[in-house]
Amino acid sequence: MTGWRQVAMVARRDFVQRATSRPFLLTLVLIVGLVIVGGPFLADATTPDPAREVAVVEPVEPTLESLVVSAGDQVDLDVTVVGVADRAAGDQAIIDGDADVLLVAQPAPGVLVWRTSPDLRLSSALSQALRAQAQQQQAADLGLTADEAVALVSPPPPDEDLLDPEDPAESSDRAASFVGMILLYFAVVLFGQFVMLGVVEEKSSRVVEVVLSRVLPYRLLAGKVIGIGALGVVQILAFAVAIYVAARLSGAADDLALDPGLVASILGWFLVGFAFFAVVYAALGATVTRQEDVQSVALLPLVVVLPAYFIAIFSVDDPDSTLVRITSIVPPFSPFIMPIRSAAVDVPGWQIALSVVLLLAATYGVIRLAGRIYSGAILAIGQRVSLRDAWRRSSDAAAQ
Amino acid sequence: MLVVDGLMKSFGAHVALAGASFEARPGRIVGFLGPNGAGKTTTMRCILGLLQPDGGRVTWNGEPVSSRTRLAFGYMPEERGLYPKMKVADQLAYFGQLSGMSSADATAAAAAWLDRLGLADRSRATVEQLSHGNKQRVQLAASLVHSPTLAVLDEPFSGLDPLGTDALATELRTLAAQGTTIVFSSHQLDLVEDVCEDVVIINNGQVVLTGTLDDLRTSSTVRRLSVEVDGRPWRPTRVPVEESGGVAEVGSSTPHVLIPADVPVDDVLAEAREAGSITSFNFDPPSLSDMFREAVQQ
Repeated sequence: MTGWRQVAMVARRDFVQRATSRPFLLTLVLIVGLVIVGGPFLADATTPDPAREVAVVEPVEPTLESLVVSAGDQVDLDVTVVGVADRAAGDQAIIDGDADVLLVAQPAPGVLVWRTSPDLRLSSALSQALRAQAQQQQAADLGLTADEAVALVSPPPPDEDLLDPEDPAESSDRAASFVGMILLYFAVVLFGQFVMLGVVEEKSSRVVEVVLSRVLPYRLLAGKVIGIGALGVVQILAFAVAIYVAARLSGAADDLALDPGLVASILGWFLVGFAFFAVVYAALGATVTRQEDVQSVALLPLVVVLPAYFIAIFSVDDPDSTLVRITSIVPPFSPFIMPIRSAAVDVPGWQIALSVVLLLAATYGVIRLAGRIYSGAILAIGQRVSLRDAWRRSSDAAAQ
Repeated sequence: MLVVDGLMKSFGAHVALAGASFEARPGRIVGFLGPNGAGKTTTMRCILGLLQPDGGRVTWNGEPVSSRTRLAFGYMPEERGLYPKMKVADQLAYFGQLSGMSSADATAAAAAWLDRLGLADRSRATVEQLSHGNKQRVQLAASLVHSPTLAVLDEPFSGLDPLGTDALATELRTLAAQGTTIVFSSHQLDLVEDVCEDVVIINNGQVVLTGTLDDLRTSSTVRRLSVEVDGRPWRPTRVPVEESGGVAEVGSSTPHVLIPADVPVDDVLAEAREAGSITSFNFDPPSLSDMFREAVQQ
């Protein structure tokens, strides 16, 4: 019991000391606040405004106006027609920015006057309207009714049958698992390094010897990974919740249907995946003493993390490729890739089970390995210890 | 009782400990001495389980030391270190809890220690805000907060001013009176002579001298002699004389030499009388510095 109590106390200290520090709280409040307040604003600002003003020389022909408005509707533009006295007034309106385009219908085929460059969507809508107007004119000349004319030039489109219609929940699943992967990536890259710095800090302040005279190295390692890791998880979760709230506020999440089971499984992959890398970072941290040396070893885990990240992004488009199938099972790639693959396609149960078992086994293995490297390197103050030296020295350190 | 029995430890080709053995009895203050690189810190780290010896063993009250028994040990490493940004009281309470105290006990013990060391008003300060001397005091409290039955202190007096030295010596005596076994290393031999009852001298990884200060003095094969004849320092010529090698100690203006313990004092006295009128004659057991040099030069 003493051992677990010590692990819990180390974890608690590392968590509380950081969580109550002013920079930490400030950063957390700032980020969460920015996402919740700024997210919807940003979403709003980046959504293109659908309103368009089309200038037409007076008198405006009612059929043309209705054709222009309905053609705009078809391309999701909210078109308003404004009358101008003559061509010169129209040009002036364009230059002043009072209208987006000047439409001169006569003589055929007409002219579209823009200020700098054509708005392609509006341009095609207006062309469509002019064409329709010309067709109506020709139909009237031939003595056809409007309906006959429409049936002649544009027969109704075929019906579309969906044999396996996309489930809106499925796209939510994919979005959620993708967000989970991105968060895991950031957690590993950012908070993995925090774990590492926490280890280095103890070494560089020399307090580690005082601690190790009371606590066995692997317990100190476990406590640090749990404490600093938990803080990282709290930050990431706060961030995830902030994103969710922002999405709800902006209406972007209206169609989102999150399955609690799925959220739980994404969280599970996230936690084990993060634990794996946090332990790796802790062991690497034990091999250096000075903060300046941290960068040199902090890059090592990226050799695995970056490929995992890119394969995960690739797997969104091609979830059934051989590369994705294999890496979704092999640790430590699996926590990045399996959630995305299983949200996109039906993955056989045994593959998921195998992937989970392998990842848990690898995490256990890396904890044992890291414990050994940690205990071999943690008391060596000064120069950087090579991993091989740390392994060799670990037989010097107490094991019981 | 702490028994260190035949400890062996090598780092690659370098032999740090070559069968070091000694004992420390309950309630005694043991001075652990030796030249730099003799194996003091390695021995201490082995006692605390920070290093695994290649051979030999450490027992406490007859039992091999485990991580559980070590919870009752206190250790002050030579490389001082505390959490710089943690509040002093929180830090002491944390170390107390790591040593198995309940949260309430640890908090109370931390407050009591800060009171005792005159730091009660600094309990909410972070360690980095403290002066060097106060950091040292907190470091000592960190190793003793859980009232250990064995305190192993590596160079606890280094860096202390005379007042701090006195205060620490008093603390150590108080702890020993309460039954705590204390093993500490130091290069300040006059201080050790003043504070310790027992000494252990280690050299090249082996214990070369161990026992109570009194016994060691009595059983020593040399005596310290300082004589003035006609107001000038004088030395005998008919007995083998050994330079003490050391600088004259504070308070003794006459340089001294070491002579074998079995030389009759009367012979020396007679030779001195022949030389002139004796103005000062001191014939004493050797000092700790004498015994230390004797032991490590063999």
